[in-house]
Amino acid sequence: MIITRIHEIFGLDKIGQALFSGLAFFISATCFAQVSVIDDLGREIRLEKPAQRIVCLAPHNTENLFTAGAGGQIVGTVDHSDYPEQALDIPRVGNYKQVNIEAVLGLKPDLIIAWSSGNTNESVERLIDLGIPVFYSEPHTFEEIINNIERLALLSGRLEDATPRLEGMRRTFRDLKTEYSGKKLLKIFYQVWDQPLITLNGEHSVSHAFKLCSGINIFADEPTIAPRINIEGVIAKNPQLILLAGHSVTQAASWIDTWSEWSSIDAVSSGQIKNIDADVMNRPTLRFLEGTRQLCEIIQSARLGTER
Amino acid sequence: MNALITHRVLFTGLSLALIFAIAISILSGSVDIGLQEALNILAHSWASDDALMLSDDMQIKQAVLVQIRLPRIALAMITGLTLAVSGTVMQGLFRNPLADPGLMGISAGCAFGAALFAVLGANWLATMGGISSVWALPMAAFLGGLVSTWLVFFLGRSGQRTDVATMLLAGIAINVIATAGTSALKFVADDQALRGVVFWLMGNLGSTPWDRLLWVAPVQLASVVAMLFYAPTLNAFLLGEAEAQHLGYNVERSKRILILLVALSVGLSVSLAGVIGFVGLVVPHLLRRVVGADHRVLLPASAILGAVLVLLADWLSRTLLAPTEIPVGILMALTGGPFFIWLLLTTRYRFTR
Repeated sequence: MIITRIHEIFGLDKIGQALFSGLAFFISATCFAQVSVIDDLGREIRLEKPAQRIVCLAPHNTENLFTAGAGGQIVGTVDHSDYPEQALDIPRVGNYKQVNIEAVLGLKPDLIIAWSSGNTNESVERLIDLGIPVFYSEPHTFEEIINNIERLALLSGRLEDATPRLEGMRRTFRDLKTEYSGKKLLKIFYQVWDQPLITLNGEHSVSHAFKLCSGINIFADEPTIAPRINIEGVIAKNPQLILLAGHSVTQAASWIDTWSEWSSIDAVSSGQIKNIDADVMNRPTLRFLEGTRQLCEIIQSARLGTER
Repeated sequence: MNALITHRVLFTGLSLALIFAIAISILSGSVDIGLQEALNILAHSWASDDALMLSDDMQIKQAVLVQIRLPRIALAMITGLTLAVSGTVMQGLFRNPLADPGLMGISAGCAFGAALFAVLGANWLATMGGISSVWALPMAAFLGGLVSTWLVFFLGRSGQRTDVATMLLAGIAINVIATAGTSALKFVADDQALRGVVFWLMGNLGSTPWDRLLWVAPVQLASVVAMLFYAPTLNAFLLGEAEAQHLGYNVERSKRILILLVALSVGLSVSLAGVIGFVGLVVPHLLRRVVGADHRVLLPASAILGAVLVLLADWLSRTLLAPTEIPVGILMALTGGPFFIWLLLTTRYRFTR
């Protein structure tokens, strides 16, 4: 309204009007947009204006900021931030375990995105003490990943931009849920290492993905998050699908040999041993959602394979 | 020589303990196999290879027993006897109650070799193709152990002599360096590759199939048997190197051969089973208390007791939280440590009694 009135007063033409309204939006976005969100540890983060110089302390944070549309506002990140490709050009401030505080300060950040279960909390607390706003990101489920990206978009002033993408993600999630819920449950063994055999328990986000696809992690109830188990335990649980989450295809290929002689396992006798990209499944990002879609497809084809 | 019990009682007791340990190892696991079934399967597998006569269920059990549990038991036994006999030899050779196979930097060197391979070698291997990673990791570990032992040995030489005191110190230094190297690799490595190696290093008896075992075990056994022949030499060493020399033993040569044998057998053992501490330290102390310091008795008794201890530790490691396995190295240190302290507090025995 104000804009139209100004336009009347100054008698601007169409282009001028467009420019002016753009300027007005810019001013309102920068001057009046005090943002406030709650992070994953329940702390309130209040910014006078959207963050323009962001430092990420974990690879998944970098990825999620790019998804939020704020990739260009990242001024520093940590090692292994390799996705998307533009992330490789961002200056590094150490790795997620060992952050160089002076390097972070040198970048003059107005927001830091931390990872409480990965970062050394002492160094993050030093940064908080120095007065820099810190947002702790700790997503595990799909809802949490999407909410995380939404709050990152809000903090970086990109919410409007990100809304369609967020909607798309919510839709993908809903579609997967409706498509696969109620399907016949499939017993899955998820292998992350071969010598010794290591798997993941029900707390890991991979198990959330299984649930969405109507799969059951046969070792969901083990006490540690990455339990070491033996081949006999797998034989006794008799999975219908074995997923090899190797680092590379060659590595996973060598793991198949371990199984070939155990045809008493349903997954082996019906040939349901599949590779899966571990990187995608390990980071709580948009790619995890995409990975889950592929996972559901693999599980579905195994389901059809065992029914035959 | 004031032994507490006669040798016959000692060896009968140890043999019974061994049979007991083997039996519970055979009968415990995620797949239920009863005593009767186990005996049937064993009789069957021994008599002929006509698995056709077994039902489907029994075929699975046969496979589990013959392909999983038996090689595991064999590996546990051979690891235990290698470590215990090597520990006894090292203590005799160094005339030091703290000596154990880890002292020569073997374990630390193996760990570094394995970690180096996991961090740098895996990619290189992918481009090479060829060697299966199943073999590559143990080989990398063995090479690491070999290099560190050679360094310790080299540093311990002064002129034509091998000075055990210098070697002891060199061993500590090499241990520190290799351990720091492993830590450095842990720092730069990404999590997944490393988790595998770390788990593997904490003792891993479960993933060595027969074919690998049949390649390595004979070499280990031969080294251990060769060490048994040095019992009289080790007895003479207890009097001191100069005295042993006067008694007509070739001290220099014996030292070199024994160190080589220990390095070879322990290096192979760590390569297959990971690092399992304390066996080499506790077993000789315990036995010396019971039977005295005569190596002609001490060495064979160490072999059996070492096998029993590792079998029992492995049995605990896979039954306590089944199907999750507790790494056997952790279990051995947790039970062996307090036991060792108890041993120190209750006995004030003299090392060379």
